[in-house]
Amino acid sequence: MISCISGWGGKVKILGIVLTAIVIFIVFILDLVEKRKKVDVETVCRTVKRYYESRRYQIFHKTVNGCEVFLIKKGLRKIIICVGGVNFDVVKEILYMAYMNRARDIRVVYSSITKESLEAFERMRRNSKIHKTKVKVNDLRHFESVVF
Amino acid sequence: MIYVILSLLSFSLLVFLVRWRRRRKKDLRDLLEVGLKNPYQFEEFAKEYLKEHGFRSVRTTRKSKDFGADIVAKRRGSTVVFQVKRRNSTVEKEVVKELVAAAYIYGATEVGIFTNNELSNSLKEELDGLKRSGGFIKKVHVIKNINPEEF
Repeated sequence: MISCISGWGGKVKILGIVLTAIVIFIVFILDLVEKRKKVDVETVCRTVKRYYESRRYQIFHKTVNGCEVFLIKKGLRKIIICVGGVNFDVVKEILYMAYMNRARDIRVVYSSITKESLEAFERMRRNSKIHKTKVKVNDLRHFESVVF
Repeated sequence: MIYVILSLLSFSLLVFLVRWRRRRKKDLRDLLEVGLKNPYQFEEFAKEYLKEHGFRSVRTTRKSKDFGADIVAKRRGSTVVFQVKRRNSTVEKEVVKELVAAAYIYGATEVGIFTNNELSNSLKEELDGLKRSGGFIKKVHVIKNINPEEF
């Protein structure tokens, strides 16, 4: 009877250690995920540069009203990527750049965006048959689905 | 007898047309005189002027957040966006960016500038660049030096 209780106590101890380890592991993983989720403009810019430089694209960089704008070229393929706070001045600059460089692929990753700019992109989508320019817009947390 | 009636009818129609045209010109001149003091009235004048000069479905856009266009019109099936500038000096090249953005947003293939003054040389070069670039903007309309003496 005594050995049965001590055996039971040992099992409980082991179970306790295992459960504690699992909890610590989960907390660690959640912390890692949280750290990964904290995306800022600099991180996105660095990721964009690294990704396209490794694929031998030419990258031209410009800052407009605090928003980072990249013109990425390789042969006939031209992409405009805009990262940061977007207002209508930034929209004007991006569209002018797109027109002059004949870029038909615009991607916007915003940390903040004005209602006017969102409406402008929405209208552009409706008229895409005329200018044949595609626009992808999403916020910083979902930058991977936009820039790659 | 019938010839006399027909000639009288044609004559009265002609008189009516001439008078109507004169009145229209006078209305436009009055609108321009008011418009030279107030930018929104100048847009109204531009709208009437464009209607008179072959543009259809001419409408002014909202006063703020207009996506770079002051007037949107149709001409031979194409959408045209206009920037209206009431200026005391020449119009500078910043207008071009607004026009290009408006063309994308409104789906226009023609753009235009309507002003009471001259265009700066840099703006003229930019507009030439727009035409030469071979993009979806096919035509640039420039209506400048609008003044009451014209009417």
